[in-house]
Amino acid sequence: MKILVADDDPVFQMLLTQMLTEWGYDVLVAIDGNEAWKQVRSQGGPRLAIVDWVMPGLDGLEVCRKVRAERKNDYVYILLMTAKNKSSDLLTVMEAGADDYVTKPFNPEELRLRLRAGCRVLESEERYRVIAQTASDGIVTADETGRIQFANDAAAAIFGFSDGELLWRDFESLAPGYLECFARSGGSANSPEAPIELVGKHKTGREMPLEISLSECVQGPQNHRLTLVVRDVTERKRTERQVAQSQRLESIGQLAAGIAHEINTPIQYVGDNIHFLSESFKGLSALLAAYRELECPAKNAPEGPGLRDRTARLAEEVDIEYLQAEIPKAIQQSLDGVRRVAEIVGAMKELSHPGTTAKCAVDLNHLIGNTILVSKHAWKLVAEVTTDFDSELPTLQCIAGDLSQVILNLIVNAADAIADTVKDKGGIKGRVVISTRRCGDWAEIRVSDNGPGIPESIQPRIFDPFFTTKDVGKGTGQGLAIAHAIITQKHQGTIHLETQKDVGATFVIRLPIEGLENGPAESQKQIMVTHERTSFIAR
Amino acid sequence: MNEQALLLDNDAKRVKTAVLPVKRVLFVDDDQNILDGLKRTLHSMRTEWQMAFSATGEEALKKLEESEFDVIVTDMRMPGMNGSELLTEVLQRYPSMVRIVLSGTVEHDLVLRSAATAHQYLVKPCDAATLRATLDTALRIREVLISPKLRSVVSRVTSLPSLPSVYAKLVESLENPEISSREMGEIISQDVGMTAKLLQLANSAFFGLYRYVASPSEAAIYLGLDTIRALTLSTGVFSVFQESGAAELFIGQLQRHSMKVGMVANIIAKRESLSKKICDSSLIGGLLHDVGKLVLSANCPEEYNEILAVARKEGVACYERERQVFGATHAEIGAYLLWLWGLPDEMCKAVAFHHKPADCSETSFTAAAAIHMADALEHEVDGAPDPDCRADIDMNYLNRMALVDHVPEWRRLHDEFVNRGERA
Repeated sequence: MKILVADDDPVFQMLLTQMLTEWGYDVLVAIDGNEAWKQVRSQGGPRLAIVDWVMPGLDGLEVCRKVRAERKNDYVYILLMTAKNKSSDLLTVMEAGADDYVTKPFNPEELRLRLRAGCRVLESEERYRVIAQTASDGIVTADETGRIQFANDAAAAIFGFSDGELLWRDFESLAPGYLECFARSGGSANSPEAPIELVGKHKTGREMPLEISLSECVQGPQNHRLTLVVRDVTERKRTERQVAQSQRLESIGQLAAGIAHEINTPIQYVGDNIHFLSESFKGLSALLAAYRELECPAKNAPEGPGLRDRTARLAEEVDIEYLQAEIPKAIQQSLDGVRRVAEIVGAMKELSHPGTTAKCAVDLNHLIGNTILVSKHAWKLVAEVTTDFDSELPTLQCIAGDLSQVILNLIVNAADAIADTVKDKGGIKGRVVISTRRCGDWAEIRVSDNGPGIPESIQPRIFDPFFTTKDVGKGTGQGLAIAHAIITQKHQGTIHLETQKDVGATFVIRLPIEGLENGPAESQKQIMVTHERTSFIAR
Repeated sequence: MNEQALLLDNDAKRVKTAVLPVKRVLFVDDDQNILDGLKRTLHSMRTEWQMAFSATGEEALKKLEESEFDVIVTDMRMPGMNGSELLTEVLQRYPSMVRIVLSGTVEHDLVLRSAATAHQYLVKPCDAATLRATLDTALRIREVLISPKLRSVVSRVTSLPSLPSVYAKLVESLENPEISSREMGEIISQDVGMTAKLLQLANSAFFGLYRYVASPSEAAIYLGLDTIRALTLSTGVFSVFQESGAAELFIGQLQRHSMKVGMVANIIAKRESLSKKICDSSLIGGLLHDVGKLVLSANCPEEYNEILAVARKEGVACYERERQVFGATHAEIGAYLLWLWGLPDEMCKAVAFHHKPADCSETSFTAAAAIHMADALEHEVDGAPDPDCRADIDMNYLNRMALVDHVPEWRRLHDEFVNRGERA
């Protein structure tokens, strides 16, 4: 290990150099304070120094103060050497920032041991420094005012600064509002396991999503220190968006397949009926023409009976009775078919139209009704879907497309769960009941099925991304995870499961009635935030 | 697929119709509106067809127990028994029936499952003309095979045996992620059975809209590798010829002969500057011209071996003997299967008339004629599958068509092709 000896006395220099070399140190010599300061500052310079108090140029105390003021990441351990041995002098030495001192004349063994203690401190410091530098997450420590005392390379890279540029900046300027954010998240400064997400500022002014964990160390009565672990989650956010998008596409894909079938069916019979009507009309036209001829007695007097026979035969051929019975039905069914197609297309349009992330007033009952209609293909063979709506329910501020995706996912899951049991029950269809109700400041949606229920062993995992019990290729395990995210994150609501084996499963969604701004969720949290703030923001 | 499928002139038809009972069609769909619509749109056919309608698969099976039907047209997605399950039952209990799907479903699984049991697939919405033409063909082709027993035999066929070597090559190629649809199609085109099945799936609406697909490569590109993979590995629409020994030898020879006939017929058709459609039909029709032999040897092996033995001993063409025993030749049996499977009409006709091209057309040179010539020229060569199973050139036809002097040129082209093959 390199060691600096700063002393203007050549004899002392020689003596120390000899001794230290013998102890295995790599000795550098400075003949005055300026020289010592220069060596300590240099890149790769010594981290351990024996500095004489009295020297020309800068004295030992000034060297100590300068080193401590320099705020370099690399710690320099300074052992001051002095002939003064009054206790007030020693206080001065420590106050200046020296780590230790030795009085002249010194006992070589004492010096050796004191240096060894210094090496231990440096080794420990080095170990944690290397860990911090190697970490791929940004690691920052800040003092109680939020000023950065240490930042590793990764932290500098995240914010676009070069090595050392972050020192003494206010962390607030890099991650505006981080303390409030911690307070609001409900985590306290002492629970680093609850990271927050917020928008950080790059040196260039670009904004980026960050995930920050915070822990607060209290070192002595007046020294709060914050340790912040910072992660740039731009990439993860992108992936999350893609996953959410692909789930959306998956459910749209399932829907589209079902809707194609639901539309093809009426089109088939509308087409058949119109074909029939067109053929019937041809027959009826011919028959009508024949009747007209019959009605013109002057013209038809000579061949009356023949014409009458022909007309009768034609009526028989055209099957007039059949036509009279069937044409009204064909028209009615065609109209029904067209209405069915129009309903499906209309519902689809309503569900897909808002497509934005903006909230708007949504009639929950109407939205659920539409979702049931467009998902008919998924359930009609295995279940009856009934509704029990609270007609008094006020409109909610929701993202309609997202919410119907949640309902759709729940309906499809319920139908899938029932499908497995329909065969066992001798082909008797299952039941899905969707109800809405007002509970104080909350709107509650319950989606219940009478399928096999969800086993206790998997209940804790159902909202996990990629958790699925469906066969490979049948589901991506995203449905409930996305539902959970949409309800809790985008709508400040809750979603939970009530289930009993062989009786069924019910998903209960609660949404705040007044929406985000002054909904019940917010007012409840407000109290918590204030509480947290008082305890935590003790700057 | 259409009116051209009419094989017999009206007089003959009247005679046959008198022999055959009324044509009966059973429609199955869980949507009453659909059944009502079908009933009305086909009302004008009421004098020719007897139609019945069922709302569930179970009810349909009950109706089938009560009376006989010729064709069943079913929806796929129904509560209780679905279309695929219904057709499987029908295949087992009433093998001679023609099985058609009319479905609006887009669920790949369900479609794949029906690929083995349905003869043809129609998608909703299906216009009245297409439905009528399909049913018409299905009902008319019965006249090609009068014997109900034989119709059962052919109708029951869901796949044709492939040579183990070609099948192994296909399975191996499916594991190769680099392979293209075209290469896959080329492998399939080395096998008569797989070619026929692939063309059935591509030409019917199993995996999309109707389209005319004339070659295995085109079919493979159209269906896509994933579908072919699923068809091969999970639904077993291709099957492997199980027996070994003489039967395997016979099948092997048949496959090689068929490939050569297809290629030579294609060369002849091109030499005669026929349209692309006819050239295609010559190639694939040639490849498939003996598909009836494949059906017979796989489904009636004992009878068929005897036919071959007797034909050899008595020195008659084997199709003469087939007619004596079965009342129909392998040409008609093969054509019946291909018609049933909805392959393009030209191809079916080429197979049906490859022994007597004059019956196909007296005035123009058809794919049937090209195949007839290629077949005859192949049989002239040593090493043909059955030296006694001769196929003589129909000189009367050539005389009438004034094509006799073309024969040396065709022979030259054939020999050139054979030599090229031997050199390669």
